[in-house]
Amino acid sequence: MNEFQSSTLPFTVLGGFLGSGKTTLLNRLLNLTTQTRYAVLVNDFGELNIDEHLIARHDGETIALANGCMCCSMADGFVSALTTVMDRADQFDQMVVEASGVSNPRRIMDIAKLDPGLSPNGVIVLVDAPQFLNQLTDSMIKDAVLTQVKEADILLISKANLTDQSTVDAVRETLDKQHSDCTLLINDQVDFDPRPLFDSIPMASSSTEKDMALVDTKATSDHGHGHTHDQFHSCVLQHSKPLDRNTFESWATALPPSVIRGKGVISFTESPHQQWIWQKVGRTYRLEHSSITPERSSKVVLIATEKMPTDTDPKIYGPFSTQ
Amino acid sequence: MTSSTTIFSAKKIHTMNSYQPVATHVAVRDGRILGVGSLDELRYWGDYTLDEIFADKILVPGFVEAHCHAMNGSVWENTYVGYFDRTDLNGRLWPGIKTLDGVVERLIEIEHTLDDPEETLVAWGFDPIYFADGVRMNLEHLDQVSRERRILVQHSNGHLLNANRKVLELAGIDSTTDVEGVMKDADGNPTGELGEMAAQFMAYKVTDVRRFDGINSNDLWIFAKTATNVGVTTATDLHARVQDQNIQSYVEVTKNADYPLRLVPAAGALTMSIQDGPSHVAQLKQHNNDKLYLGLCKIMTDGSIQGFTGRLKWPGYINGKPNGIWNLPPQTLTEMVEAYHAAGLQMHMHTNGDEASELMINAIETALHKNPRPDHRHTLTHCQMADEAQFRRMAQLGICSNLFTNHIYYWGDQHYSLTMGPDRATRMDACGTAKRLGVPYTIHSDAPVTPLDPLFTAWCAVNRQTASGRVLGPSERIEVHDALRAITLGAAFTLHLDHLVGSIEPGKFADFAVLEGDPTDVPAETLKDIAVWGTVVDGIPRPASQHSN
Repeated sequence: MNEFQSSTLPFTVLGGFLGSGKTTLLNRLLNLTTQTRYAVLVNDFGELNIDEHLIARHDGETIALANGCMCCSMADGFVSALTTVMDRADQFDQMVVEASGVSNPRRIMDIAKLDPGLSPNGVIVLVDAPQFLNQLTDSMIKDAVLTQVKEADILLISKANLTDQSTVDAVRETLDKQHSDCTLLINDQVDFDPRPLFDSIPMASSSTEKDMALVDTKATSDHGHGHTHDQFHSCVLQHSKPLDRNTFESWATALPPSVIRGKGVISFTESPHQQWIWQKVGRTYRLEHSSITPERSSKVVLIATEKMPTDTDPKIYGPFSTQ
Repeated sequence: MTSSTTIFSAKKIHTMNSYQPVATHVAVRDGRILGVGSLDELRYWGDYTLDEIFADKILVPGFVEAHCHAMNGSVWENTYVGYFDRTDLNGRLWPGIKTLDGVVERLIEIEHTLDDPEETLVAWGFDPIYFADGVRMNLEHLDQVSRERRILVQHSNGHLLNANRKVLELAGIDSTTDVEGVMKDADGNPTGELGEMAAQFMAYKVTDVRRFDGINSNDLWIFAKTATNVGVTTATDLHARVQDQNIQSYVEVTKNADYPLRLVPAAGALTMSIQDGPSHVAQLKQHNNDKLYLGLCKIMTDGSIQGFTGRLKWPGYINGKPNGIWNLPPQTLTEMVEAYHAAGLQMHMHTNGDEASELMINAIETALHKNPRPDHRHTLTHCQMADEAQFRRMAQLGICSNLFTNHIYYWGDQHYSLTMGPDRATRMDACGTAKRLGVPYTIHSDAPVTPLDPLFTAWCAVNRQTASGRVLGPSERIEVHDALRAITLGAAFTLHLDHLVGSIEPGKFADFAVLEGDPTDVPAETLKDIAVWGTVVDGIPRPASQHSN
């Protein structure tokens, strides 16, 4: 367990209407992951087409993968699948639930807000670039599609490469109107790497060096800046003294939407002997007491799209600017 | 074995058989009906034993309930706290509780009978919607019952739950909890009323309450007992999980000659993948016997109207609530219908709102174009809000309807004022329209949602009277004879079993409902009050529990 992890299982909900690419995204996630062991609750095995070489064994409603991940079918009901995973929570680093194409993913996330064994790790909603505008003209499904958009922490416009730029622009404009302060990403690449969307961010520390491969940051200085493959940037910020809480929260609130995720260990001047874990997903963040030994210093990692201003921008470095 | 003939005499027999609608005697051999008529006419079959046990009773075909669930007996493991009178599996009447204080009193009584402090007290059927002063149950009410024992009170609509302080503590639900469905009072403290899945999931997680996610043999035996008590001889389990363990239970009980019920489990299509489901259900038919009919499928489309989750066409809910929910994307439901239809299987589709009905009618039409199949008998079950144009299409496409007439009594007043409004509420569960337009129809209880009791369900269709006494949609009322047909042959038709059950005629199973009064000879308002002696299944008399008390 690294310094950012608690004993709870990070819980991510992947929503989006039928055909928006949830299954494809999950399949890529399971194929690419090397360090993180995901337990994924899927709607239907039939569609998942996991590469044969990844599959270790089939066991009723579950498929165990050679890389330590597991898929659990929800055919027998969500609660049953959830219980199956929770019973072996210690074998996994993350739980991801693929919401059904019509469900409100926020109602599923509520479980993680209540269950002490789980910690909310974001509602990611996929928006089908070629289909989205048509969906909004279909009275049978329009309400379900809009609810998903409004409940997202992170919106990902998928399949942008399958339509023209003007459609993507129109989709983006509509999403801005529906949920203007939501972090919005566009996927127009076939080799999209979804891992940074899901991962609770690992930190550059001696105990978790190997996890850093994911964010691929070379930073060890106060302001590190690295690239997570091509689509995402990451940035490490540190401060050796406790921070003023108000200043910190103003900074956290004002971070631009291009910052998708953030995580860190913070100490505040008001209680320098207490450390807090800060976690941001999309536009929302949480601060929780940490049980680890206080270091009187603070350190955060941000993951963002390429649109993130450089880390010399005060919007990004905020209270971490002075030593 | 030498076959012997038993002739039952009766005060009157309503056969539901058009060439011979009434008779006085029925001859039975090998569990089947040999002949119907007068004793003189039946003598032609040779030697017989005359059984006069029913000489002063009325015989009708055994009732067929085409939409109920096998946990109808097992719900009585918990305490009933509903507003309306309800009879348990032993024939004991539990009077409806008309006030919240009354509910608390009953819970206190039951609490005193529990020895193990670790046992969760579970009550069911609670429905504050009927309380005149709009009062809701809160933690203080349940404090009076116990602060130490875990208590759960399930609402009759299936969507809400009241938990007591102990359960909330264990579930970690308090004033800081910020999730939808945790109701709070003016001071921001939880009241114990929990809606939505997440909060209820936590409440169940910290109790030891059984979830009805499968059935066992005991469930099926007590289910049959509740059926016999009300004259039912064939019943569905209309959303079954069809894993091996459940199938084993169905097979085991139905092979027992003493088992007094023919079972029609409908496989829940939403619990299987579209790829594997159809072939899986088709191969289940190999387990069938004279009392077990696997092969039917159930498709869940929308939610419920009183829960505001039914999918409605414009203009939607009269109180302005947003439209309801789909259980799966409409396109997926359509694909599902096509797949099960293509496999030659029959489906009963749960459709409450008219938009849900529309989707399923469209899906069946598409499936029929791709794979024409005469006499499919796909059935819209509940089909509560279907309009006339939809009934016309159903008639043209050969779609049957199973109408939820019990709703008219239990929630008709709410549909009038809260959900549909006066005009559309009058067309709910439109038996009159179905009959007039030639849509094959039956009527149902959805037990345990409402009580299993076909005579009551028939009474609802005939009188359309709500709990407050309003007649909701008088032009949709049907005649007593039509209603009797709906709960016998009508239901059998929608299950593809009308060649075996549903009327009293030669060759069919000797399954009868034995009544103390003649439905055609009492005022229509008292149809529901006719006492049931019990049933005959396979020619064997099966007295109801209320007679052995």
